[in-house]
Amino acid sequence: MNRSIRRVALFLMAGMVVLIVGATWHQFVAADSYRDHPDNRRRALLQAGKERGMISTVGGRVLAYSEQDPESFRSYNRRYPAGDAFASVVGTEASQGGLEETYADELRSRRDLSVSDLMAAMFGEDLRPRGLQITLDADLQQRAHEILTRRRGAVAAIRPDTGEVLALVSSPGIPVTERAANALYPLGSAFKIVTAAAALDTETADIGSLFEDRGVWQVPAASLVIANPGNVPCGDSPQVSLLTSFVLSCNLAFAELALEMGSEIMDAYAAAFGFGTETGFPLQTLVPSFGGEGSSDLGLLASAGTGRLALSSPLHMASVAAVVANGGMKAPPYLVASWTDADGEVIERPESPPASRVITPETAASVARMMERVITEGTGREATVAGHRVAGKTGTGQDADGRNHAWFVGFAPVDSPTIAIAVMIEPGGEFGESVTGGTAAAPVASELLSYWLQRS
Amino acid sequence: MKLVTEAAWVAGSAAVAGLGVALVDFGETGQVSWAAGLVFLAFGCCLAGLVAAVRRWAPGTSSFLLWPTALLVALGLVEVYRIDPTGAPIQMWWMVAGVVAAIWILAAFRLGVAKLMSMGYWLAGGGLCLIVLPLLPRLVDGESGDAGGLWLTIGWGNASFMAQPFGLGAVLLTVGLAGIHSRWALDPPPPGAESRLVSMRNLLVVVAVWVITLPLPWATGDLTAWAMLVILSVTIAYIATGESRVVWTGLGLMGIGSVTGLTSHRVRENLEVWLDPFSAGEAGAGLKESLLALGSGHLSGSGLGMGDPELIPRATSDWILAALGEELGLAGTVAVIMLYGLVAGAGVGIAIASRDLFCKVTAAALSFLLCLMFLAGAGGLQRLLPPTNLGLPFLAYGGIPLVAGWLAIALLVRISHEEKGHL
Repeated sequence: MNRSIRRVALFLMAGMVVLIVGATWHQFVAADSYRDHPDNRRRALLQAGKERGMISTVGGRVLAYSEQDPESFRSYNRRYPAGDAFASVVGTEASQGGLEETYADELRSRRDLSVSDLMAAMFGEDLRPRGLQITLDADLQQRAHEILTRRRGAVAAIRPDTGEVLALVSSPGIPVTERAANALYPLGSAFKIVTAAAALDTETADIGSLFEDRGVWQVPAASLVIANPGNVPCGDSPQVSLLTSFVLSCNLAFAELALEMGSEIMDAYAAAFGFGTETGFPLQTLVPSFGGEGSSDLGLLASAGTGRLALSSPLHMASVAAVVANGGMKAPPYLVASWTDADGEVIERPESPPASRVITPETAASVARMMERVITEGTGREATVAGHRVAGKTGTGQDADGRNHAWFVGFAPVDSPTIAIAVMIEPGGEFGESVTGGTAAAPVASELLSYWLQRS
Repeated sequence: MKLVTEAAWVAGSAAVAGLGVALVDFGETGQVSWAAGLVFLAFGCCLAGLVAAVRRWAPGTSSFLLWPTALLVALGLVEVYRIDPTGAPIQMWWMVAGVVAAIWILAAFRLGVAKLMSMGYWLAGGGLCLIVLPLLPRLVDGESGDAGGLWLTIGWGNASFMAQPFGLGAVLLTVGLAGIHSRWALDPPPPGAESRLVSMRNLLVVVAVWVITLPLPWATGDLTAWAMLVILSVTIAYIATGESRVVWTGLGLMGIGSVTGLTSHRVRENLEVWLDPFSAGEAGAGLKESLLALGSGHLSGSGLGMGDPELIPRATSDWILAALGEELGLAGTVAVIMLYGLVAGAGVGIAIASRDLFCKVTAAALSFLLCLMFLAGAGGLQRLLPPTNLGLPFLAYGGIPLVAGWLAIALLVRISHEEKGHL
């Protein structure tokens, strides 16, 4: 009888061994696959309730912070005291997006009460969440948000000499999507800044060079016709200067210049201005393009020279204006000023990418002169700011459905620029379906620039 | 000296319960409530009462049976408190009831457990009745309880009460079958009366249990719990007779029962959950969430009160081991396995040392039962077996399995006392 009991005991022991092997399998060997399983809600629960660092502007405006949940000891609620104006940049608890998503891991507290945690704390490591300081100018951002309230569009503003991003506003802000940096819109004539800069820089033309302009031009060796708006000639005579073409935003001179310079030069200058290149900007994943990249098609190149095929974002265009404002040097835009520890002490300042020369100072000065004339006597009159010299270029880009997107790209004050901006207004909102750069975007730019210039 | 050891394990188990409750409180709220002290006191008093009874009526027993059991109950109570703080006081009262039942066993059989042998048929019959009891409402109106097969919902008015009589039924059945088989072993048929029926009577008991429990998988979908019963009855017959033909017959019967069980859609659903819990939808939620909890626990666990076992449906009753595994990690799971191993090992040791045949068979059968229930529950959790909603003895929330477990322990304690020659 003891023999059968021993056999039964062996059976039980074998069962126990199998259980230990099974437990090791589930809790050690395969544990990670369970932990990271898409159906496992623990990770999301843990992260949602974790303390995250403060996001603030360099000027001290708090944009987001964590507050301990009065109900639950270990979870935190996220607060956004600065309101809607910052939602598209910072992101929100519900929709994430913005910096909250981009820097989710960096912002989150690394405390999880685990053993390794205790060890790290014992060696003096600071596991508290890190704070993020960004370059936005809180008042300018707020003002731009108010100006755009009843409009559809986006605004970007940067400091030309450093690349600090001063404002990034998208409207409408709900649902929250960042569109000042990470959306591409048809650019239209605002691209002529690039074509003109390339022509002047390569000495293909100067601002007084004359171009034949009868309103419509059959591109040689291509089945394409380039025309001015309304097919009307640019000036009173059939010969118009580059300056006049730029100021009145006529197309033919720029088509001719693009063909004359050729695809390689156009490509090189467009790339130097940031078309077709990754920016590395935290909120931006889309790459602007001017439409003629690497193309040997003459019709396409001529068309691209006028900006008809270009796609860009307000932030990128603000940086194009900044190159002109900054004497031809490009300081890449950046938003993250510094990381701080939980006490607010700066512990890390991300290195900003080095500035690079795009065009000569002389070219930049010439382009700036032309851009100032756009405001004083051209398509950008509505961007005038009384008592200040403003430079700019309007643009009206059409999307595939023929809907206009109005642009104003510029900087101020002309003699020592402190701000470069780009305004993009979509159809809809206060201006209705038919928007143009001069009528819809320029007035918004005027309001913003006058706010900025009067303040400083 | 013995008093010191006893005081040590009583205080130790009570400390595990009290400290566990304190850790749960701290992990959840950052503060410790008075509940920890209360649990420590209540737990300590319960066990002290039990020890006093053991010293009075079964002083010869080995404490290797009692302290692992007390630790298991303490762990279960802590995890129940962690998942369902309102359920914990009820569980504490059931702990009291279990200890009282154990003391009653020790007192009632102070003159020896042998008189249970003659009650074999009654005990086995009563046990089987309890086991099939939850099927009755289902057999009558075809309704399937939302909590799964083995639960009986007793409702009057708006109040309803859930109970799982399976554990108690299994303990009664075990003692009953041990009685029946031992009696035949002690009282062999006279050589002249060797009829075919008499030589096969042990087998007939196995077949009878099989026939009576056959509707179980069909009505509840729980193939594992049913197979456990068949294995139990086969093993008891095997221990008592040593005949391997009992085992082969049992295996054959299990095969037939499993195949007939497959005709039930409930069994098939349960098997689908088993084979792929991650795409079985709502039906597989329990097993799926339990596996995710186990994996998330990893080696050292999240810490008491700091995991998310409330994501597991019916975590306190059906999946308590997964909740423990999440918060105490692989270390905790292995500790629980070891504790069951100690209980079963102590029980088997008592059986081997016993001289009385009935005591021997009963001790072996009860140890086997406790261990088998754990193997079935934990094996189901680890997807080694189709999942079962059998409550783990000592650990799971629910009064009847806890009381039944204490009854079994008390019988083992009493037998181990008798085995030393005391009667």
